Amino acid sequence: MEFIIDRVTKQFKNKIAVDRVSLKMSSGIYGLLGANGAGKTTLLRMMAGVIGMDTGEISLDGDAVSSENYRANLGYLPQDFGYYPNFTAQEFLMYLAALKGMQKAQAKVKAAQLLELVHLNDVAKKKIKTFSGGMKQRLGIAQALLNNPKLLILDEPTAGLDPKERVVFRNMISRLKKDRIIFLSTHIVSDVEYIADEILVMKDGKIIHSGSLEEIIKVIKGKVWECKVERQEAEKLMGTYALINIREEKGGVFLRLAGEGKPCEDAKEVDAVLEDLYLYYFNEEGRKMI
Amino acid sequence: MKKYQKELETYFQPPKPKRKEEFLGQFSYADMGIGEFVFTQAGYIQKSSWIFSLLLFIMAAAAGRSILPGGGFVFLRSFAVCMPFWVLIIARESARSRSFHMMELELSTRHRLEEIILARIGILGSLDVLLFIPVCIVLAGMENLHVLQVVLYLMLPFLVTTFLSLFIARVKDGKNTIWYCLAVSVFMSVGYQVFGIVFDVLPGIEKEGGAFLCCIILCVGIGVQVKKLKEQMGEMAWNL
Repeated sequence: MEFIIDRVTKQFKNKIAVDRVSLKMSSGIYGLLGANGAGKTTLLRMMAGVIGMDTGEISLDGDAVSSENYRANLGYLPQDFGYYPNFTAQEFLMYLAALKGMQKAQAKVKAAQLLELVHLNDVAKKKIKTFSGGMKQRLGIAQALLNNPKLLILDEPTAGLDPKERVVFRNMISRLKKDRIIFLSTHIVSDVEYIADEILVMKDGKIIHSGSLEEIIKVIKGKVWECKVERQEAEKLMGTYALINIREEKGGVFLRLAGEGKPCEDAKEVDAVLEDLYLYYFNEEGRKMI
Repeated sequence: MKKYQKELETYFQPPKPKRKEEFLGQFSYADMGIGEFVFTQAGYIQKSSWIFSLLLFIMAAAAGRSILPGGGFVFLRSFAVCMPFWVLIIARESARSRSFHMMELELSTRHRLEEIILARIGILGSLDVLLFIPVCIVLAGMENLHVLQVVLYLMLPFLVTTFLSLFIARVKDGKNTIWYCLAVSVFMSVGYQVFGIVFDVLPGIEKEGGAFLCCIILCVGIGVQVKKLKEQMGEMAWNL
């Protein structure tokens, strides 16, 4: 199984949303990390065939993204999706099963299985408008799996899920990866840290880094520091280093920073984790949030 | 005898099937063909669309019949002024995906959004055709008109409203598009009522020729609008 993205570009008016992205994937879980506006959703929409590319090609086992065969093997969960009023969970799945070309009998069986998988079997006949955000998201995951897709694209799949649900989701995705390509985009680092076989970091429409967790962490190995300083010193350091964590403590401010060189005399070098890398790359965005 | 039969059935009942769904799920079923897909879409058209279509037809027939002494042309015009509202029903049905944020999901499935909209337009349009075929035949008989003349008279307001509605949908993309389409339908309906009186007064062969030419031009115009709307769908999808 091979999924190829070849020099794909998308521009909207004056903004290049996706800039010559090329990827080659086989079965496994791929996590796409990036800040808001990095181009993740645009790339995923092109992969799902929702929007066209300006240049480049996308194919799955030789089937181009525009072909029916490609869509027949695709499961897609958008970042935000709606439903027709008065649809129950079961009716929603049956409707999408029809759009995926499934026979009614097969769709009924599959819908029941998936509702059980996502723990919505008790509310199968309840209207979606009564669902919580987390329940709706689980229903979205269920519809993406209806046609047993070879390629599963999930855009911010854990949005609206509580921590326990997120763990359940991670375990579910890990079980699904056999003979399947799962591509999930998120800005929640823990979503991919534990389950992704390969992590891709996206910024300004480009994939700036990719590899396994160990490989990409190497970039900031030896560059993550923890120290406790005075408030004024802290503000000076925050202007120079990528701020990962800040905490007011008695007698000063505790900082976890990423950057070249020791920030201060008392700073300790600590083991880097994926969140450190994320904030190191998206330093500007992180500073704006403070 | 029946009692023994029943008792035998109870004692020798077969065991309940275990993991029936899992077993059935192993089989790969034939995929749904395009015909079956179109048929299933009929079940997803809003009940209100069916009801409004029939109500509109009944109202047009009742309005024409109530002023029948005025002649078959009046009856014909009562249908013609209702045609813009059939366009509105179809437009409302076509805009549902966007209104209820289903567009992105429907663009990624095997049978895409364009097929869904075409299926629904085709089904509602087929209902309209089925209702209007007898009307055209009856009206043609009433005033010794040719069936083609009746069809042209009815198609003209339909095509003008379709063209204007598509144009509006393209330039005024958003939540209020359907209200603009409603305004177009009302304007066309009232306008055709006025125009229809003038139209009736015009000489025979020239007006049919003119109407036929208008229909051709409008069909081309509609094709252009559909093409531009399709191109715009990409930007619409990005703005979801």
